[in-house]
Amino acid sequence: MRVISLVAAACAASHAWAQSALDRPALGQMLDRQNSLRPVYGVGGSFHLDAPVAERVIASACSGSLCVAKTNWAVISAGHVTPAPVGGAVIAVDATGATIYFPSVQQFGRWQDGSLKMLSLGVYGTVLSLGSSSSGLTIAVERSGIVWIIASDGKILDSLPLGAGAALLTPNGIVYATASSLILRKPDGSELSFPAQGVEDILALGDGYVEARAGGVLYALRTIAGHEQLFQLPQAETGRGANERNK
Amino acid sequence: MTRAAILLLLAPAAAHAQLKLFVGSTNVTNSTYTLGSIAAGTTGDVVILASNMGSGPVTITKLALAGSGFGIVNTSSTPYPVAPGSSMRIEVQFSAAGGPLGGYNASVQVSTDQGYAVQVILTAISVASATLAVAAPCTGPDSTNTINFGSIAESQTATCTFVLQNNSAQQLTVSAIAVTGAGFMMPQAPATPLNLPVGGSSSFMVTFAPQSAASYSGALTVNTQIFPLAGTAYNPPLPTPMLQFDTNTPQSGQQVTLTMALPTPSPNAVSGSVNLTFQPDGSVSTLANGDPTIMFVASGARSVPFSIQQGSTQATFAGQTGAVFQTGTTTGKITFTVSTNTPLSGDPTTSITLAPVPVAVDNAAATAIAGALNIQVWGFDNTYSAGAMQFTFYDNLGKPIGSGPVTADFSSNFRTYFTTSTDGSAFAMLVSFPINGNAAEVGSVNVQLTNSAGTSTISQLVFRNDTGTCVLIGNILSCPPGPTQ
Repeated sequence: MRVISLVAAACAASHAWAQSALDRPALGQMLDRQNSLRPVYGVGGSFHLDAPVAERVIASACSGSLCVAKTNWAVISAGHVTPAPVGGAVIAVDATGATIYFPSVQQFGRWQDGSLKMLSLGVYGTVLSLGSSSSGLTIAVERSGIVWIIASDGKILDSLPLGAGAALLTPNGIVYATASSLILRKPDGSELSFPAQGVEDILALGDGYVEARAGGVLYALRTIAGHEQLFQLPQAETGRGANERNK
Repeated sequence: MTRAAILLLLAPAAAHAQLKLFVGSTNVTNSTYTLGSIAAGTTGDVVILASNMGSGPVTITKLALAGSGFGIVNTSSTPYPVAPGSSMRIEVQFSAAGGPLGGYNASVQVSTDQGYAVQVILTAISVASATLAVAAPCTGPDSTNTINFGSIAESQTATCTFVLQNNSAQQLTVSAIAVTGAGFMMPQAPATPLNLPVGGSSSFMVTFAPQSAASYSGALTVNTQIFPLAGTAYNPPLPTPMLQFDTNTPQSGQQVTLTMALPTPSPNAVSGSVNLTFQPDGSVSTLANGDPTIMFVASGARSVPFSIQQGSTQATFAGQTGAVFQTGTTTGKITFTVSTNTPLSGDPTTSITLAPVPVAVDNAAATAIAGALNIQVWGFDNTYSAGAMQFTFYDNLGKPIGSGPVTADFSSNFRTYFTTSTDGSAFAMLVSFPINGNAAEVGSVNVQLTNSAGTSTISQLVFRNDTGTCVLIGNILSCPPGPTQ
């Protein structure tokens, strides 16, 4: 109790001990309809987009501290441009880097601090999503129309219902799409369903948010336990007014 | 026919005159031109061109018209020099108004400085005619005999009763009656020949049925009489749209779906936009910066296009039945208006008021690191008046630490932040308490945030240890758990 008493006494004696910093609430980065990567600020239901930080992006994933994007030829993040296998990518971001699967060469890689190291890891099936967690790497793969969640050693951990399309492995559970819904399967196995037709792609927008892309609508699903909610992301305003605001 | 005096005053030199008279392309020099039968009460017009067909100049020194029923209504004053190849225009009108029926003639003589004159004899016959009257909604005939159907909505029909009356002293026979022109029709034309006895009349209907918004013109022909028909059509007004929301009590920080319905089916296909404007409450207007987060998400702007199909009562927004908008994070009033090229039956303007609320906490986290306790709060303050806070710390057994809550006032920090914010009142706050010793002994904290609308509380926010770094061991990435709750 000695230390605790010191804290309380110090704070009570002078408010100057408590330091406050205020900043824009950064939620992550989204891929807009023009495939530009845009920072997203605000709170749930009140989003604000900034000007693009990268264009011609094929895939992206963000955590609270890091965003990694893939263009046709490179992995880009925080000023780093790292040559990478051509084409799309499946990205899982964690606290220090990203694990990336390159479908064109069917290889996994570990990106960290601007350096890309290919991993000797192979899986059977179409890789839909990767999840990096303290328990290791998990992979969502589609095999003969069924999506399986497997460990990096190939052990089957879970599966998704028949008809599941796009999927994303997140720290808060598995997000997957059906024809008419977006489903959040929580770590305890329970599921929450949100109406969202025609979701084609799901990306990690930031801590506790995923972006679901469906036709003309971009959804943001909040996955934090107790705060699960589906929102729509603003489209990037185009035209003269938007340009003036972005100056 | 006492007025049918023949005027033949041909000058000898006219045989080789270089000045010729034309009606259209017909040379009428020193000959007769007939206007034919002219219905009594109407006029007949003819334009005569006195043209210099020679190679040298000639000057018209005098114009003279002799005879009854005719008059020169427009020409140039004399003397009038006419260059080779040029003409002088002479407009003559026949009107037997007030005069008897029968034949009329007159001469138009043009004298030159060359010592000769040329002339043309004009003839016309004034015949008895029916008088036309129309009933509402039509008006006319006016001074140009035009019948006007007025202005009606496109695809609608205006029907007027036309009455032909014989006000003359003799029986009239209408041998032809017809309506021409797009949009005009006579559903049941009177049978011809139509005999109208003295004082008699006959009625028939003429309809105006325009298919699209435009000005229309046509004609009703009764024997030789022509009555121009006129009418205009406009886009019919749209029934006043009703703007509705999927919540009865919109609040800040929400996404709300707007729908637009019509009380009756749309008379035609309509497009336009729904626009919103935001007026911050007076208490925050100096800090709110207009709150750019208030917008329609489909457009990322404060205007969203809509369309309504003909016969539908529901507007669609890019194929969706509703348009989602963000209410933002500022207390005030959002006003919605509708813009369209189609007139509206009424004003659909609708407003929603966003009431001031206590600080809304979107997320919170507490982290114990070496030398400090960090408390992070993400949220918004739609009153722009936050700053007063209380922190109550608890040990790992849930017992309060110290003698009571720790108070702090960060009002000036918030005001400074809000002044430059581009995200409305949304904020991410980090409060750091320096500490000596083992921070792990602090278990949780209660946080109270106060603004002008009240106090909100974050209860039992559990401190977590600082995150470390992920380590790649072989192909396995090992990361500590994250700090966010």
